[in-house]
Amino acid sequence: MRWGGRIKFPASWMQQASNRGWIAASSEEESGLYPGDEPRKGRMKKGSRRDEAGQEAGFARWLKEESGEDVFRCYQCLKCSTGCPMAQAMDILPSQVIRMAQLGRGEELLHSETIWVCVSCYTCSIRCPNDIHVAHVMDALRELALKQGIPPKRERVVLFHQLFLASIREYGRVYEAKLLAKYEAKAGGLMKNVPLGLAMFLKGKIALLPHKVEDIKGVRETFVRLEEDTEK
Amino acid sequence: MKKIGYYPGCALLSSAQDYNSSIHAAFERLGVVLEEVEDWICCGASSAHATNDLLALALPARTLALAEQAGLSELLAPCSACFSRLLLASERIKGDEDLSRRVNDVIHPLHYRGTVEVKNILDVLVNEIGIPEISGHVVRRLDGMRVVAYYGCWLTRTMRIPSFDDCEDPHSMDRILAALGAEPLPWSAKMDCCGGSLGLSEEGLTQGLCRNILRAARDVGAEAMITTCPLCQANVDIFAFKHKDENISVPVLYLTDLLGVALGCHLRGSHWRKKFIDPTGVLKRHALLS
Repeated sequence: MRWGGRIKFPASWMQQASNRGWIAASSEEESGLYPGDEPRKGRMKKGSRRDEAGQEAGFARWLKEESGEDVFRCYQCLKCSTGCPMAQAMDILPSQVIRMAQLGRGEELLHSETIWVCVSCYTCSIRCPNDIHVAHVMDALRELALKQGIPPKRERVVLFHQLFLASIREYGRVYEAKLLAKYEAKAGGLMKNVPLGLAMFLKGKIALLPHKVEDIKGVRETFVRLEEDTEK
Repeated sequence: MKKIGYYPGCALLSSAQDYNSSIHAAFERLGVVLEEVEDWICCGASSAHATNDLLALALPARTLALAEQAGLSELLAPCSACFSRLLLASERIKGDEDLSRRVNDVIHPLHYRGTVEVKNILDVLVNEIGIPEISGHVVRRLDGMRVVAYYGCWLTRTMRIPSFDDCEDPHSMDRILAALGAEPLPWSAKMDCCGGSLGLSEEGLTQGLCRNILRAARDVGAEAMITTCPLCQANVDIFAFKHKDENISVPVLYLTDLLGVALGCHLRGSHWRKKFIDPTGVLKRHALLS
Protein backbone atom coordinates (compact mmCIF):
# COMPACT_ATOMS: atom_id res chain seq x y z
CA MET A 1 0.00 0.00 0.00
CA ARG A 2 1.40 3.33 -0.95
CA TRP A 3 0.75 6.67 0.63
CA GLY A 4 -0.13 8.50 -2.51
CA GLY A 5 -3.59 8.63 -3.94
CA ARG A 6 -5.79 7.49 -1.10
CA ILE A 7 -5.52 10.44 1.21
CA LYS A 8 -6.43 13.90 0.09
CA PHE A 9 -4.34 16.68 1.51
CA PRO A 10 -5.86 20.06 2.34
CA ALA A 11 -5.64 22.51 -0.53
CA SER A 12 -3.46 24.79 1.61
CA TRP A 13 -0.75 22.15 1.87
CA MET A 14 -0.87 21.33 -1.79
CA GLN A 15 -0.51 25.04 -2.49
CA GLN A 16 2.42 25.26 -0.11
CA ALA A 17 4.05 22.28 -1.76
CA SER A 18 3.67 23.76 -5.19
CA ASN A 19 5.04 27.10 -3.97
CA ARG A 20 8.12 25.27 -2.85
CA GLY A 21 8.43 23.61 -6.20
CA TRP A 22 7.85 20.10 -4.90
CA ILE A 23 4.89 19.54 -7.15
CA ALA A 24 3.69 21.22 -10.27
CA ALA A 25 0.77 23.54 -9.54
CA SER A 26 -2.61 21.79 -9.81
CA SER A 27 -1.00 18.42 -10.50
CA GLU A 28 -2.82 17.10 -7.45
CA GLU A 29 -5.66 15.41 -9.26
CA GLU A 30 -3.69 13.62 -11.93
CA SER A 31 -0.81 12.41 -9.81
CA GLY A 32 -2.60 11.97 -6.48
CA LEU A 33 0.64 12.93 -4.81
CA TYR A 34 1.11 14.50 -1.44
CA PRO A 35 3.05 17.70 -0.81
CA GLY A 36 6.49 16.17 -0.59
CA ASP A 37 6.49 14.43 -3.94
CA GLU A 38 9.12 15.35 -6.45
CA PRO A 39 7.67 16.15 -9.85
CA ARG A 40 10.51 14.42 -11.77
CA LYS A 41 8.67 15.33 -14.93
CA GLY A 42 10.16 14.20 -18.17
CA ARG A 43 13.05 12.47 -16.51
CA MET A 44 11.33 9.35 -15.51
CA LYS A 45 8.45 7.18 -16.51
CA LYS A 46 5.55 7.19 -14.13
CA GLY A 47 5.50 4.03 -12.07
CA SER A 48 9.18 3.30 -12.39
CA ARG A 49 11.02 2.21 -9.27
CA ARG A 50 12.78 5.49 -8.76
CA ASP A 51 9.53 7.32 -9.20
CA GLU A 52 8.02 5.23 -6.42
CA ALA A 53 10.97 5.87 -4.17
CA GLY A 54 10.50 9.57 -4.76
CA GLN A 55 6.89 9.39 -3.71
CA GLU A 56 7.72 7.44 -0.61
CA ALA A 57 10.35 9.93 0.45
CA GLY A 58 7.71 12.62 0.15
CA PHE A 59 5.84 11.43 3.22
CA ALA A 60 9.00 11.62 5.27
CA ARG A 61 9.65 15.05 3.81
CA TRP A 62 6.17 16.14 4.79
CA LEU A 63 6.82 14.86 8.32
CA LYS A 64 9.99 16.91 8.43
CA GLU A 65 8.08 20.01 7.38
CA GLU A 66 5.36 19.47 9.97
CA SER A 67 7.38 18.23 12.91
CA GLY A 68 10.97 19.20 12.13
CA GLU A 69 12.01 15.56 12.58
CA ASP A 70 14.12 13.78 9.98
CA VAL A 71 13.12 10.12 10.07
CA PHE A 72 15.88 9.19 7.64
CA ARG A 73 18.39 9.53 10.45
CA CYS A 74 17.02 6.33 12.00
CA TYR A 75 19.20 3.20 11.73
CA GLN A 76 16.82 0.91 13.64
CA CYS A 77 18.67 0.46 16.92
CA LEU A 78 15.22 -0.18 18.48
CA LYS A 79 15.97 1.75 21.66
CA CYS A 80 12.68 3.63 21.30
CA SER A 81 10.65 0.43 21.16
CA THR A 82 12.48 -1.38 23.94
CA GLY A 83 12.09 1.56 26.33
CA CYS A 84 8.48 2.34 25.46
CA PRO A 85 6.14 1.83 28.45
CA MET A 86 3.14 1.43 26.14
CA ALA A 87 4.76 -0.93 23.62
CA GLN A 88 2.63 -3.90 24.67
CA ALA A 89 -0.53 -2.05 23.69
CA MET A 90 0.77 -0.85 20.34
CA ASP A 91 0.03 -2.42 16.96
CA ILE A 92 3.07 -0.73 15.40
CA LEU A 93 6.17 -0.22 17.56
CA PRO A 94 7.83 3.21 17.66
CA SER A 95 10.84 1.98 15.68
CA GLN A 96 8.45 0.52 13.11
CA VAL A 97 6.58 3.82 12.92
CA ILE A 98 9.80 5.52 11.92
CA ARG A 99 10.67 2.80 9.40
CA MET A 100 7.20 2.91 7.86
CA ALA A 101 7.42 6.68 7.64
CA GLN A 102 10.65 6.26 5.68
CA LEU A 103 8.84 3.87 3.36
CA GLY A 104 5.91 6.23 2.87
CA ARG A 105 3.40 3.94 4.56
CA GLY A 106 1.68 6.91 6.16
CA GLU A 107 -1.82 5.65 5.69
CA GLU A 108 -1.22 2.65 7.93
CA LEU A 109 0.30 4.91 10.54
CA LEU A 110 -2.68 7.26 10.54
CA HIS A 111 -5.02 4.31 11.05
CA SER A 112 -2.88 2.73 13.75
CA GLU A 113 -3.64 2.24 17.40
CA THR A 114 -0.14 3.30 18.26
CA ILE A 115 -0.65 6.99 17.65
CA TRP A 116 -3.45 7.10 20.26
CA VAL A 117 -1.79 4.74 22.72
CA CYS A 118 1.45 6.75 22.91
CA VAL A 119 1.45 8.69 26.21
CA SER A 120 4.12 11.21 25.18
CA CYS A 121 6.43 10.25 28.02
CA TYR A 122 9.41 11.19 25.79
CA THR A 123 11.46 8.13 26.77
CA CYS A 124 11.94 7.25 23.10
CA SER A 125 12.90 10.78 22.17
CA ILE A 126 15.45 11.24 24.91
CA ARG A 127 17.15 7.92 24.10
CA CYS A 128 17.32 8.22 20.33
CA PRO A 129 21.00 8.19 19.33
CA ASN A 130 20.08 10.04 16.15
CA ASP A 131 18.18 12.81 17.87
CA ILE A 132 14.79 12.01 16.40
CA HIS A 133 12.03 13.34 18.65
CA VAL A 134 9.89 10.24 18.11
CA ALA A 135 7.12 11.47 20.41
CA HIS A 136 6.84 14.63 18.34
CA VAL A 137 6.50 12.53 15.19
CA MET A 138 3.54 10.85 16.94
CA ASP A 139 2.04 14.30 17.58
CA ALA A 140 2.32 15.18 13.89
CA LEU A 141 0.69 11.86 12.91
CA ARG A 142 -2.16 12.38 15.35
CA GLU A 143 -2.76 15.89 14.10
CA LEU A 144 -2.84 14.70 10.49
CA ALA A 145 -5.13 11.78 11.34
CA LEU A 146 -7.60 14.18 12.96
CA LYS A 147 -7.41 16.62 10.06
CA GLN A 148 -8.07 13.78 7.65
CA GLY A 149 -11.08 12.76 9.71
CA ILE A 150 -9.74 9.24 10.20
CA PRO A 151 -11.72 7.55 12.98
CA PRO A 152 -9.31 7.06 15.89
CA LYS A 153 -8.74 3.51 17.12
CA ARG A 154 -9.01 4.79 20.68
CA GLU A 155 -12.04 7.02 20.58
CA ARG A 156 -12.10 7.83 24.27
CA VAL A 157 -8.62 9.33 24.11
CA VAL A 158 -9.75 11.77 21.45
CA LEU A 159 -13.01 12.46 23.29
CA PHE A 160 -11.00 13.36 26.39
CA HIS A 161 -8.73 15.70 24.42
CA GLN A 162 -11.72 17.40 22.79
CA LEU A 163 -13.53 17.96 26.08
CA PHE A 164 -10.32 19.15 27.71
CA LEU A 165 -9.72 21.75 25.00
CA ALA A 166 -13.39 22.77 25.02
CA SER A 167 -13.00 23.48 28.71
CA ILE A 168 -10.01 25.75 28.07
CA ARG A 169 -11.93 27.54 25.36
CA GLU A 170 -14.87 28.10 27.67
CA TYR A 171 -13.06 29.11 30.86
CA GLY A 172 -9.38 29.60 30.03
CA ARG A 173 -8.60 26.93 32.58
CA VAL A 174 -9.75 23.36 32.90
CA TYR A 175 -12.98 22.99 34.84
CA GLU A 176 -12.48 19.44 36.04
CA ALA A 177 -15.96 18.85 37.49
CA LYS A 178 -17.68 19.55 34.19
CA LEU A 179 -14.97 17.84 32.15
CA LEU A 180 -15.26 14.64 34.15
CA ALA A 181 -19.07 14.70 34.16
CA LYS A 182 -19.23 15.24 30.41
CA TYR A 183 -16.58 12.63 29.78
CA GLU A 184 -18.41 10.05 31.86
CA ALA A 185 -21.67 10.79 30.10
CA LYS A 186 -20.17 10.48 26.62
CA ALA A 187 -17.50 7.81 27.03
CA GLY A 188 -20.05 5.04 27.51
CA GLY A 189 -18.03 3.46 30.30
CA LEU A 190 -21.19 2.69 32.31
CA MET A 191 -20.27 5.48 34.70
CA LYS A 192 -17.56 3.34 36.26
CA ASN A 193 -15.61 6.41 37.31
CA VAL A 194 -18.53 7.87 39.23
CA PRO A 195 -17.53 6.40 42.62
CA LEU A 196 -14.02 7.77 42.13
CA GLY A 197 -15.36 11.19 41.15
CA LEU A 198 -17.55 11.19 44.23
CA ALA A 199 -14.61 10.22 46.45
CA MET A 200 -12.51 13.00 44.91
CA PHE A 201 -15.36 15.43 45.45
CA LEU A 202 -15.70 14.42 49.11
CA LYS A 203 -11.97 14.91 49.59
CA GLY A 204 -12.29 18.41 48.18
CA LYS A 205 -10.12 17.46 45.21
CA ILE A 206 -12.58 18.75 42.65
CA ALA A 207 -13.37 22.44 42.65
CA LEU A 208 -17.11 23.08 42.54
CA LEU A 209 -16.97 26.21 40.47
CA PRO A 210 -14.92 26.98 37.37
CA HIS A 211 -11.95 29.35 37.55
CA LYS A 212 -12.81 31.53 34.61
CA VAL A 213 -10.05 33.89 33.51
CA GLU A 214 -10.66 37.64 33.12
CA ASP A 215 -9.60 37.82 29.50
CA ILE A 216 -11.71 34.92 28.30
CA LYS A 217 -12.53 36.93 25.18
CA GLY A 218 -8.84 36.97 24.30
CA VAL A 219 -8.54 33.23 24.87
CA ARG A 220 -11.47 32.54 22.56
CA GLU A 221 -10.04 34.87 19.93
CA THR A 222 -6.84 32.84 20.04
CA PHE A 223 -8.85 29.70 19.32
CA VAL A 224 -10.69 31.37 16.45
CA ARG A 225 -7.47 32.74 14.89
CA LEU A 226 -5.93 29.34 15.25
CA GLU A 227 -8.71 27.79 13.25
CA GLU A 228 -8.20 30.45 10.59
CA ASP A 229 -4.47 29.73 10.54
CA THR A 230 -5.13 26.02 10.15
CA GLU A 231 -7.52 26.60 7.26
CA LYS A 232 -5.12 28.95 5.52
CA MET B 1 13.96 38.48 49.67
CA LYS B 2 13.94 36.41 46.55
CA LYS B 3 11.02 36.74 44.16
CA ILE B 4 10.02 34.32 41.44
CA GLY B 5 7.12 34.14 38.98
CA TYR B 6 4.58 31.45 39.75
CA TYR B 7 2.36 29.46 37.42
CA PRO B 8 0.25 27.04 39.49
CA GLY B 9 -1.59 25.42 36.58
CA CYS B 10 -5.10 23.96 36.63
CA ALA B 11 -4.40 20.88 38.73
CA LEU B 12 -3.14 22.96 41.64
CA LEU B 13 -6.50 24.71 41.82
CA SER B 14 -8.47 21.49 42.06
CA SER B 15 -7.15 17.95 42.41
CA ALA B 16 -3.78 19.10 43.75
CA GLN B 17 -4.85 21.99 45.98
CA ASP B 18 -2.77 20.43 48.74
CA TYR B 19 0.34 20.71 46.54
CA ASN B 20 -0.36 24.40 46.01
CA SER B 21 -0.80 25.04 49.73
CA SER B 22 2.32 23.14 50.77
CA ILE B 23 4.38 24.95 48.11
CA HIS B 24 3.20 28.30 49.46
CA ALA B 25 3.83 27.25 53.06
CA ALA B 26 7.33 25.88 52.36
CA PHE B 27 8.46 28.77 50.15
CA GLU B 28 7.30 31.27 52.73
CA ARG B 29 9.56 29.58 55.28
CA LEU B 30 12.42 29.69 52.79
CA GLY B 31 11.86 33.40 52.30
CA VAL B 32 10.92 33.15 48.63
CA VAL B 33 8.02 35.22 47.34
CA LEU B 34 5.88 33.55 44.69
CA GLU B 35 4.42 36.10 42.33
CA GLU B 36 1.53 34.49 40.49
CA VAL B 37 1.11 35.44 36.83
CA GLU B 38 -2.17 37.28 36.65
CA ASP B 39 -4.85 35.75 34.48
CA TRP B 40 -2.71 32.78 33.45
CA ILE B 41 -4.44 30.16 31.33
CA CYS B 42 -4.15 26.38 31.01
CA CYS B 43 -0.99 25.13 29.28
CA GLY B 44 -3.08 22.80 27.08
CA ALA B 45 -1.33 19.74 28.51
CA SER B 46 -1.35 16.56 26.42
CA SER B 47 -4.66 17.44 24.79
CA ALA B 48 -3.18 20.38 22.91
CA HIS B 49 0.08 18.86 21.69
CA ALA B 50 -1.62 15.60 20.72
CA THR B 51 -4.10 17.35 18.48
CA ASN B 52 -2.73 20.67 17.25
CA ASP B 53 0.89 21.79 17.36
CA LEU B 54 0.15 25.49 16.96
CA LEU B 55 -2.38 25.37 19.80
CA ALA B 56 0.21 23.63 21.96
CA LEU B 57 2.45 26.66 21.43
CA ALA B 58 -0.21 29.37 21.55
CA LEU B 59 -1.72 28.44 24.92
CA PRO B 60 1.60 28.53 26.82
CA ALA B 61 2.62 31.61 24.81
CA ARG B 62 -0.37 33.57 26.17
CA THR B 63 0.71 32.90 29.74
CA LEU B 64 4.39 33.50 28.95
CA ALA B 65 3.48 36.82 27.33
CA LEU B 66 1.57 37.84 30.46
CA ALA B 67 4.55 36.87 32.62
CA GLU B 68 6.86 38.86 30.37
CA GLN B 69 4.53 41.86 30.58
CA ALA B 70 4.61 41.63 34.36
CA GLY B 71 8.40 41.77 34.24
CA LEU B 72 8.97 38.22 35.45
CA SER B 73 12.23 36.79 34.18
CA GLU B 74 11.76 33.40 35.83
CA LEU B 75 8.60 31.35 36.00
CA LEU B 76 8.17 28.42 38.37
CA ALA B 77 5.78 25.75 37.09
CA PRO B 78 5.47 23.08 39.81
CA CYS B 79 3.45 20.64 37.67
CA SER B 80 5.71 18.58 35.41
CA ALA B 81 3.29 18.72 32.49
CA CYS B 82 2.93 22.51 32.73
CA PHE B 83 6.69 22.84 33.08
CA SER B 84 7.35 20.74 30.00
CA ARG B 85 4.71 22.50 27.87
CA LEU B 86 5.80 26.02 28.89
CA LEU B 87 9.51 25.30 28.53
CA LEU B 88 9.28 23.58 25.14
CA ALA B 89 6.94 26.27 23.80
CA SER B 90 9.15 29.09 25.04
CA GLU B 91 12.30 27.60 23.57
CA ARG B 92 10.71 26.77 20.22
CA ILE B 93 9.25 30.26 19.87
CA LYS B 94 12.56 31.81 20.85
CA GLY B 95 14.54 29.78 18.35
CA ASP B 96 12.34 30.15 15.28
CA GLU B 97 11.37 33.49 13.78
CA ASP B 98 8.68 32.14 11.48
CA LEU B 99 7.08 30.17 14.25
CA SER B 100 7.31 33.13 16.60
CA ARG B 101 5.45 35.27 14.06
CA ARG B 102 2.73 32.65 13.60
CA VAL B 103 2.24 32.15 17.34
CA ASN B 104 2.22 35.87 18.05
CA ASP B 105 -0.35 36.43 15.30
CA VAL B 106 -2.59 33.91 16.98
CA ILE B 107 -2.24 35.35 20.50
CA HIS B 108 -2.50 38.98 19.38
CA PRO B 109 -2.78 41.55 21.05
CA LEU B 110 -0.49 39.70 23.45
CA HIS B 111 3.09 39.28 22.31
CA TYR B 112 5.78 36.96 23.57
CA ARG B 113 9.40 37.92 22.92
CA GLY B 114 10.92 34.85 24.55
CA THR B 115 12.56 36.29 27.64
CA VAL B 116 10.97 34.15 30.34
CA GLU B 117 13.00 31.32 31.83
CA VAL B 118 10.75 28.41 32.78
CA LYS B 119 11.81 26.48 35.87
CA ASN B 120 10.58 23.37 37.62
CA ILE B 121 10.40 23.12 41.36
CA LEU B 122 13.43 20.85 41.83
CA ASP B 123 15.59 23.20 39.78
CA VAL B 124 14.47 26.14 41.91
CA LEU B 125 14.99 24.30 45.19
CA VAL B 126 18.41 22.88 44.33
CA ASN B 127 19.93 25.54 42.10
CA GLU B 128 18.24 28.79 43.08
CA ILE B 129 17.66 28.34 46.78
CA GLY B 130 20.29 25.67 47.37
CA ILE B 131 20.58 22.63 49.61
CA PRO B 132 22.59 24.45 52.34
CA GLU B 133 19.88 27.11 52.60
CA ILE B 134 17.18 24.44 52.86
CA SER B 135 19.16 22.50 55.50
CA GLY B 136 19.58 25.72 57.44
CA HIS B 137 15.81 26.14 57.71
CA VAL B 138 15.02 22.59 58.82
CA VAL B 139 13.45 22.58 62.29
CA ARG B 140 12.13 19.02 62.36
CA ARG B 141 14.25 16.33 60.75
CA LEU B 142 12.64 13.39 59.00
CA ASP B 143 15.22 11.01 60.44
CA GLY B 144 14.86 7.38 59.48
CA MET B 145 12.00 7.90 57.04
CA ARG B 146 12.55 5.55 54.13
CA VAL B 147 11.28 7.16 50.95
CA VAL B 148 11.60 6.85 47.18
CA ALA B 149 11.88 9.93 45.00
CA TYR B 150 9.53 9.55 42.03
CA TYR B 151 10.49 12.02 39.28
CA GLY B 152 8.19 10.85 36.49
CA CYS B 153 8.60 11.71 32.85
CA TRP B 154 8.90 15.32 31.96
CA LEU B 155 11.07 16.96 34.59
CA THR B 156 14.36 16.08 32.97
CA ARG B 157 13.20 15.01 29.50
CA THR B 158 13.55 18.51 28.13
CA MET B 159 14.69 17.25 24.73
CA ARG B 160 17.09 19.62 22.99
CA ILE B 161 17.20 21.98 25.93
CA PRO B 162 19.87 21.27 28.54
CA SER B 163 18.31 19.66 31.60
CA PHE B 164 18.99 20.81 35.17
CA ASP B 165 19.62 17.19 36.21
CA ASP B 166 20.63 13.90 34.60
CA CYS B 167 17.90 12.97 32.12
CA GLU B 168 17.98 9.23 32.88
CA ASP B 169 19.10 9.14 36.50
CA PRO B 170 18.27 12.39 38.30
CA HIS B 171 19.28 12.90 41.91
CA SER B 172 18.12 16.39 42.85
CA MET B 173 15.03 15.25 44.73
CA ASP B 174 17.02 12.56 46.55
CA ARG B 175 19.47 15.25 47.65
CA ILE B 176 16.69 17.47 48.99
CA LEU B 177 15.12 14.56 50.86
CA ALA B 178 18.49 13.61 52.35
CA ALA B 179 18.97 17.21 53.46
CA LEU B 180 15.67 16.94 55.35
CA GLY B 181 17.01 13.88 57.17
CA ALA B 182 14.97 11.29 55.26
CA GLU B 183 16.54 8.24 53.73
CA PRO B 184 16.00 8.30 49.94
CA LEU B 185 16.29 4.75 48.61
CA PRO B 186 17.76 3.79 45.26
CA TRP B 187 15.02 2.21 43.14
CA SER B 188 14.31 1.32 39.57
CA ALA B 189 11.14 3.24 38.75
CA LYS B 190 12.15 6.83 39.50
CA MET B 191 11.59 7.94 35.91
CA ASP B 192 8.84 5.51 34.93
CA CYS B 193 5.69 6.79 33.30
CA CYS B 194 2.42 6.80 35.31
CA GLY B 195 0.24 6.90 32.19
CA GLY B 196 -0.35 10.64 32.18
CA SER B 197 -3.65 11.78 30.75
CA LEU B 198 -4.40 8.25 29.54
CA GLY B 199 -4.93 7.34 33.20
CA LEU B 200 -8.52 8.49 32.84
CA SER B 201 -9.40 7.71 29.24
CA GLU B 202 -7.62 4.38 28.86
CA GLU B 203 -7.31 3.16 32.42
CA GLY B 204 -6.86 -0.43 31.30
CA LEU B 205 -3.66 0.48 29.46
CA THR B 206 -2.03 2.41 32.27
CA GLN B 207 -2.83 0.20 35.26
CA GLY B 208 0.22 -1.95 34.65
CA LEU B 209 2.44 1.13 34.76
CA CYS B 210 1.16 2.26 38.17
CA ARG B 211 1.34 -1.30 39.48
CA ASN B 212 5.01 -1.61 38.49
CA ILE B 213 5.87 1.71 40.10
CA LEU B 214 4.20 0.74 43.38
CA ARG B 215 5.81 -2.72 43.34
CA ALA B 216 9.23 -1.19 42.81
CA ALA B 217 8.65 1.09 45.79
CA ARG B 218 7.49 -1.80 47.94
CA ASP B 219 10.43 -3.98 46.89
CA VAL B 220 12.94 -1.52 48.33
CA GLY B 221 10.88 -1.08 51.50
CA ALA B 222 9.73 2.49 50.99
CA GLU B 223 7.33 3.97 53.53
CA ALA B 224 6.27 6.72 51.16
CA MET B 225 6.67 7.78 47.56
CA ILE B 226 7.60 11.40 46.99
CA THR B 227 6.78 13.26 43.80
CA THR B 228 6.56 16.78 42.41
CA CYS B 229 3.99 16.08 39.69
CA PRO B 230 0.23 16.27 40.34
CA LEU B 231 -0.48 13.85 37.50
CA CYS B 232 1.93 11.23 38.90
CA GLN B 233 0.50 11.72 42.38
CA ALA B 234 -3.09 11.32 41.20
CA ASN B 235 -2.50 8.33 38.94
CA VAL B 236 -0.43 6.31 41.42
CA ASP B 237 -2.46 7.31 44.48
CA ILE B 238 -5.78 6.50 42.80
CA PHE B 239 -4.48 3.20 41.46
CA ALA B 240 -3.26 2.23 44.93
CA PHE B 241 -6.65 3.20 46.36
CA LYS B 242 -8.57 1.14 43.81
CA HIS B 243 -6.29 -1.87 44.27
CA LYS B 244 -5.83 -1.91 48.02
CA ASP B 245 -6.24 -5.68 47.99
CA GLU B 246 -2.95 -6.06 46.12
CA ASN B 247 -1.02 -4.96 49.19
CA ILE B 248 1.30 -2.67 47.31
CA SER B 249 -0.07 0.66 48.51
CA VAL B 250 2.24 3.32 49.85
CA PRO B 251 1.25 6.92 50.51
CA VAL B 252 2.19 9.25 47.66
CA LEU B 253 3.23 12.66 48.97
CA TYR B 254 4.39 15.85 47.34
CA LEU B 255 7.97 16.83 48.05
CA THR B 256 6.69 20.11 49.45
CA ASP B 257 4.47 18.21 51.93
CA LEU B 258 7.58 16.77 53.56
CA LEU B 259 9.56 19.95 53.03
CA GLY B 260 6.77 21.83 54.79
CA VAL B 261 6.82 19.42 57.71
CA ALA B 262 10.60 19.66 58.01
CA LEU B 263 10.51 23.45 57.86
CA GLY B 264 7.90 23.56 60.63
CA CYS B 265 4.84 24.56 58.58
CA HIS B 266 1.49 23.74 60.10
CA LEU B 267 -0.18 21.42 57.66
CA ARG B 268 -3.54 20.46 59.13
CA GLY B 269 -5.31 17.12 59.14
CA SER B 270 -7.42 18.23 56.19
CA HIS B 271 -4.21 18.56 54.19
CA TRP B 272 -3.32 14.91 54.63
CA ARG B 273 -6.88 13.76 54.01
CA LYS B 274 -6.56 14.91 50.39
CA LYS B 275 -4.51 11.82 49.69
CA PHE B 276 -6.33 8.59 48.89
CA ILE B 277 -3.75 6.46 50.68
CA ASP B 278 -3.60 7.89 54.18
CA PRO B 279 -0.09 9.15 54.98
CA THR B 280 -0.76 9.97 58.65
CA GLY B 281 0.37 6.52 59.82
CA VAL B 282 3.85 7.04 58.40
CA LEU B 283 4.03 10.60 59.72
CA LYS B 284 2.94 9.48 63.20
CA ARG B 285 5.50 6.68 63.21
CA HIS B 286 8.20 9.30 62.80
CA ALA B 287 6.54 11.74 65.21
CA LEU B 288 5.98 14.28 62.47
CA LEU B 289 2.32 15.12 63.01
CA SER B 290 1.80 18.33 64.90
